[in-house]
Amino acid sequence: MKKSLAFLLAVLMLLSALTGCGSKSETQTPSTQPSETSSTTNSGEKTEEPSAAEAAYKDTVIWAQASDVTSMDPHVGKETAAVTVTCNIFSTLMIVLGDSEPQPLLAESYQQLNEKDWEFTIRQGVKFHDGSDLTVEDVKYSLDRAINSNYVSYIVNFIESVEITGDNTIVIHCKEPYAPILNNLSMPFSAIVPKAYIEENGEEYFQLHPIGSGPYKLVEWNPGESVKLEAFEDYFGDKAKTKNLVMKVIPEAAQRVIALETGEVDIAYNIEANNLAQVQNNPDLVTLEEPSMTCYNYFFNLNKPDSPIADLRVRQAICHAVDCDLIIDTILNGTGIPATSMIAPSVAGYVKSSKYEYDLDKAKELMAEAGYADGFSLVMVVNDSQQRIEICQVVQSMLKEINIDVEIRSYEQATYINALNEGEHDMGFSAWITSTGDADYTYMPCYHSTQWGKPGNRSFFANEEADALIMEGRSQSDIEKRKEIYSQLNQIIYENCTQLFICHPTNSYSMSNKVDGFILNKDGYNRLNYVTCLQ
Amino acid sequence: MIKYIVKRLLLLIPVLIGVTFFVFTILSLAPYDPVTVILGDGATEEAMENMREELGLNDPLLVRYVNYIWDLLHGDFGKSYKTRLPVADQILSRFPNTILLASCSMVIAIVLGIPLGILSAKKQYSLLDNVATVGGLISVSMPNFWLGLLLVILFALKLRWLPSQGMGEDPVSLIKSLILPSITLGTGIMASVMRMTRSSVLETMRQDYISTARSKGIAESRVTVRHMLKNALIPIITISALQFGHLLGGSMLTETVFSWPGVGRYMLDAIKTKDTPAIMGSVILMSVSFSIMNLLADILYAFVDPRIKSQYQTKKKNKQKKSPAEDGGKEATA
Repeated sequence: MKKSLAFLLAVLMLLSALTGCGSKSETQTPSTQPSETSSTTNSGEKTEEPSAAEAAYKDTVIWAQASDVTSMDPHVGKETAAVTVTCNIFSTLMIVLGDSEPQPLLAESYQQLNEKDWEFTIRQGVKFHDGSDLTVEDVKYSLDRAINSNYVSYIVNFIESVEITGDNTIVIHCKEPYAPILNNLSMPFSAIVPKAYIEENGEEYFQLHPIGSGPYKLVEWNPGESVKLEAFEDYFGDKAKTKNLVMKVIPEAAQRVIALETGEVDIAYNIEANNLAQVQNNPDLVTLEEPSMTCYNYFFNLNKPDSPIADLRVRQAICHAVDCDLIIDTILNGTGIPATSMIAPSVAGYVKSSKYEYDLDKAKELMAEAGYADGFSLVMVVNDSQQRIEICQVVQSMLKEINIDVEIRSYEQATYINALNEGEHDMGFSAWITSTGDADYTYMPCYHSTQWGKPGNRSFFANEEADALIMEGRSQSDIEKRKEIYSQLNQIIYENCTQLFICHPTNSYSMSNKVDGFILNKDGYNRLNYVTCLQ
Repeated sequence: MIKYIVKRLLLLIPVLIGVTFFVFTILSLAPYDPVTVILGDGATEEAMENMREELGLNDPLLVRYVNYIWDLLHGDFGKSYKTRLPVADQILSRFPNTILLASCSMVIAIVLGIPLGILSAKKQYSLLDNVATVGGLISVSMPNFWLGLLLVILFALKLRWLPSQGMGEDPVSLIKSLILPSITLGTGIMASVMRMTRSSVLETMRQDYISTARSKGIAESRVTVRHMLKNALIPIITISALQFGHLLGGSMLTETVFSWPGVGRYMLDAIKTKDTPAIMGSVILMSVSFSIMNLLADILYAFVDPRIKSQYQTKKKNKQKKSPAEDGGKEATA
């Protein structure tokens, strides 16, 4: 009895599966294959195209990314995968669009009152998604909330206090003179959230039903699957051009490209180097590449007196022995630019600095000078990313040329970070991101003598002159003077050879050629209110 | 029978305590600080200390474990370290998706596996048997994600019949989006079901009662289904139930390849971010579904095989008879 029932069910299921499959080829369901009627294939669908091609825009644009939002709370979810969504829901006082300098967004204007105090005038008539007005109260509440958030406090903890000085003005008192303030306030982690709404509904409710004052409001979040956004009609800035946005989570890199090719999605983030040729060769797709603010480098551990790596000449020899261009061309498929310092060219405060060029003879000479002509062995620490391990393997074989035996220790992320913090490495791979787009974000933790280990200084570098320059750099607000300071700092770093700099990898985005108005942000936090997509 | 089921369900408790303790200990002994993963680069020492305190990570292992179990007994699975969302809600919202995918895969595996297995057995060493054997071997050894990608390239990219990934919303697109992942997941299981059916049927085929049935003049089809298959069913049920239990825990690879929002991917993400409460929740779900499917298999035996059913019942009867006789010791031998 049971068996026959099960059998019946099974047959029914199979039948429905088959009929589902059959009807597919006849009726075109726009929901699953929205832009399939592109000129990608010569199939029968093309007949439908002329009627729809009258410059009609789709009301829904779908983008795919590798991971899901971690938290909708801008003061919690700081992973790029979360911010790509939340930066469209929330607004910040300042904003960096594309390659621009920070410009006022929620702030109407700002002025520096004295060394430590900045006054911001808040734009009037800004509405949250529930229709309530955004006030200075909300601004103060939000910044205080961000400062108290364990997740993002490092972005705003330069603030001593926020003071409401008028109906629409606030003054931010900094703990010490802090030049990158505008960059930090344009980070989505310092987003302005509605005070009354959170206090009324509670934090937990807010995590799942966030409202902000951005161009899009959240409609639905299916964790692990998708996020749906809808244009907010009362947005104070340039209103969203496309009514609906959908973010789809597609963890598998190859699948993101396939979904793009089949037209299931319009835009795909996180295109990986080995899929790049595939999207570039497809005439229906446009691929944008932007050197990221990430720097692939190796920290030399200067805190190991017994290791040959403590010898400056050895470190220089290693730098001379590694051919960065070759690494970029092979492993990264050309998606990167050689690095001369931790700071990528798009970051405020970037200055070009000296680099140890690839020169094997020089490297051998230096090794001989240091008394290591016969070589030695060293420990290289890296995480479990396949690409990074490959880079390490190439460096390993390059260093073989100067008789250095490299032992690669690959750990999963948490153990790897621990190993770097504890100084297990002679050379520790690092993929540091200057998230705020301001050089101080990197110079301070990576080079200041008080920041050994966990905060970022994994070469355990200590140099009084460098410390002084770092502090001077963060308090100097004139960008040209800062560059001068950072130029001197880079020279010290170069002379001490604290790191082997490899490259700044490229972030790649690919989209259908019908997509227009996509502004690529160098930090990857793309605001999509200008995006349109032809049918 | 009911008593038996209750007993088996009660046995789940020590199993769960064992599993949770084991996993919890391993996660705690791993040489990393979860807080570095939660807060990432840039977090201040102070923020990290606050976080440790907030999550109770400064307590000794046993205290943490007892706290966890205590919360668990109150139905609180904790909050994910990474997303701060309740683990139970997150898993329960994904579980139906996994059940759906698992069921469809099982249907494919059983509907194709059992008939193929019977045919292979009945035509042993024929061409069909050999093809099925080789095919089975290939599909068992083929990695899921690879098969999945191949199917996607053919049916989604080249032919454009089916969506390449995701889970459809309306019934039609849902069914369409189910096909490729179900085939991917079902193929391997189909092969094992097929092989199991083949060997089991081969064994029963040689039994005397089959010859008897045939000599009575019963139609061959009836002999196959009523006499052969029914007797051969026990191992098939076992393997299917175990596989189903496995699938219900979520299939990480297939769910990842097809962007299927199920519990397997939830677990994978949790493992990647060392999200202890989320990993624990997934492990508990996995062990419960595995144990329950095991139990279900045992119950199904009773329906398939009257001898086993009578065993369950005699046990019960024995107990009723023997308890007044104060002879509990011998009960176990019955």
